[in-house]
Amino acid sequence: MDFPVFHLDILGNRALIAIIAILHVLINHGLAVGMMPLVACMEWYGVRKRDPRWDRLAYKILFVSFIVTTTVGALTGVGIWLSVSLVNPYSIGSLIRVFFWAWFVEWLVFITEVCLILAYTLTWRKWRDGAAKSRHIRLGFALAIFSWITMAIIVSILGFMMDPGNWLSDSTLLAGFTNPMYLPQLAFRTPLAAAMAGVIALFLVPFFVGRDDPFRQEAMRAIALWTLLAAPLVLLGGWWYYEVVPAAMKDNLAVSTLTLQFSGWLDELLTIALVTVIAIVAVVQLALSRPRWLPRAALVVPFVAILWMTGHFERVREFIRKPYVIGRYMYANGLRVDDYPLLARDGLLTYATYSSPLTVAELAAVPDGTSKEERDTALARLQRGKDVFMNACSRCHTTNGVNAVSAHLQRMFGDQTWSPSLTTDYLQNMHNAQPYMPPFPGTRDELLDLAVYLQQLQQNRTTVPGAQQSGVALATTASRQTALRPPEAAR
Amino acid sequence: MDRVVRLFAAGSLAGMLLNVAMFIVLLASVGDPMLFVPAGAVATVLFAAPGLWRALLSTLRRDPARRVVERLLLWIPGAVALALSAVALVLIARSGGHGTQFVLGVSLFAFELAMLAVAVADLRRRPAAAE
Repeated sequence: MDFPVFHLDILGNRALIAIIAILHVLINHGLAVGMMPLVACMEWYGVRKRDPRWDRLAYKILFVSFIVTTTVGALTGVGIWLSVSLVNPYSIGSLIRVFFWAWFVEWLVFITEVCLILAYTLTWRKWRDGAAKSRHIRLGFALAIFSWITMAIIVSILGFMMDPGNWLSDSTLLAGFTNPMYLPQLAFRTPLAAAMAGVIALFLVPFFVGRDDPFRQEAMRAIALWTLLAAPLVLLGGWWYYEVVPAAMKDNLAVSTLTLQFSGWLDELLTIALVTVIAIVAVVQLALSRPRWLPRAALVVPFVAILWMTGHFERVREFIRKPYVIGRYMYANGLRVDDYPLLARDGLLTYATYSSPLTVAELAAVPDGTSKEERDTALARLQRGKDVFMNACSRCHTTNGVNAVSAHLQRMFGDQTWSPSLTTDYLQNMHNAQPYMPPFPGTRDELLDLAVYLQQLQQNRTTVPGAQQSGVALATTASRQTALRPPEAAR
Repeated sequence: MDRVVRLFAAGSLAGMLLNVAMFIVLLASVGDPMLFVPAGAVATVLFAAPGLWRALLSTLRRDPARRVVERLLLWIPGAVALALSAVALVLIARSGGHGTQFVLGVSLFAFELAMLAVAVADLRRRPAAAE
């Protein structure tokens, strides 16, 4: 625990990562990995048919992709690692140690991809005929391959986070890279990206080709064909992927697909998902068979639907691996599984370098009508409880915002006083009741300190600032001793 | 009313789509999956058979000018409709004749049978248009 705790107490840390990461995946899959081969195919097809309309349409779609991928796509790509580093630096540190060379290669491939997309876009109008055009088409397919390779490397890291496989016993890059989730996930994402690109291209065609132009129908039929060819591969890849997801993770499906409050609605959501898939396929089928029957508004349906479904899939993938952030190696709170016995013996705060100062509202939770010594003791205990909360809980939970501990306590204990005697047993055993929760990592005393901190949340509805707002205090030897003082002495 | 008249006057595809609609309404109103699934399967095969034959003939006909995309367009629309008709019948069979799954299965089956009719009608027209 060598880093100050970054914390967003209204939105929640997970939402920050989710918003950036999902946006990035939608752009990466839909406009880069899937779209570049589609655009290259359209360019090639136009040359084969000696039809310049294909060339013009391909360039317009490429230009949209170029603008979005090199701005929002690139920013969110960096943003993922920045936000993850802020929220859970220990997990990203572990991943960098394991995948250093893979990431280095990915960086080289990414730089090459950026150079290729610049070259591909900027030479489109210059390399128009003959050998130059052939060279340009090859450039497009090279860009498609490099776009795919970046995804293929990152997917390995995503798979590793779900199930590291043999890496737990053989800590090599190769063992980590070839984790059990890797190939199934790649087999799912590759056609998914192609299908997404097809749906997005279908959505774009009416913007670039007039309603009365017969080419509009021709283009929509060809793009719909591309999409429908990818669709069965998405299903097959998805089935393979689902088959290798460990059984313990599948037990989290209801909560990860919805939330704890709505986990009973899994069947309803799956029906909605089925209706959505059917709606996507139906519109694409119409685009294939009778494109002129399709109004522009109808093309919004598959566009929005596939973005929603892919985004939701990413949300499920992120949650389903709980209680781990790296399967069986590191819990979602950033603490290694192997460190738990040490933390249970010495205490979590023994290894916490920083302390998060109490807010005015938290200070007010300690009553005034006591002696200075009693007040100082109570404040020290509240401080320890807050530090335990910030280190063990705040990666996933807020106090009063999204996924708030106060909301969970209210749901479980209602208006009873959330006294430590009421909550500690639950906190001690919550990982048994809710398998997606990590076990409590510290000593019994720290558990009681946490319970004291949680008790004041029943009255305190203010938010807790993270280190980025409130700053941090260095936990000195003296303060550590205070923190380690047994509660009996502290009372 | 004019639209309905135009629909009938439009030719065999419009008539076939109307037949599909009436057939589905009839089966759905009975609400028995034991009847719906075999009757639906027979109807699907009857709809698909002429299309399959024409697609096969068209594929076997050597035409160097025909591109990969055109060749795929012979098969994919019908194949997708056929596959999804089967999915719809599975949904109906599992639904017990009521509930969301039944409605979803019937809607999907109606749509896919119509798409199959469209694909077959296109295959009838295609040789003249493509060659």
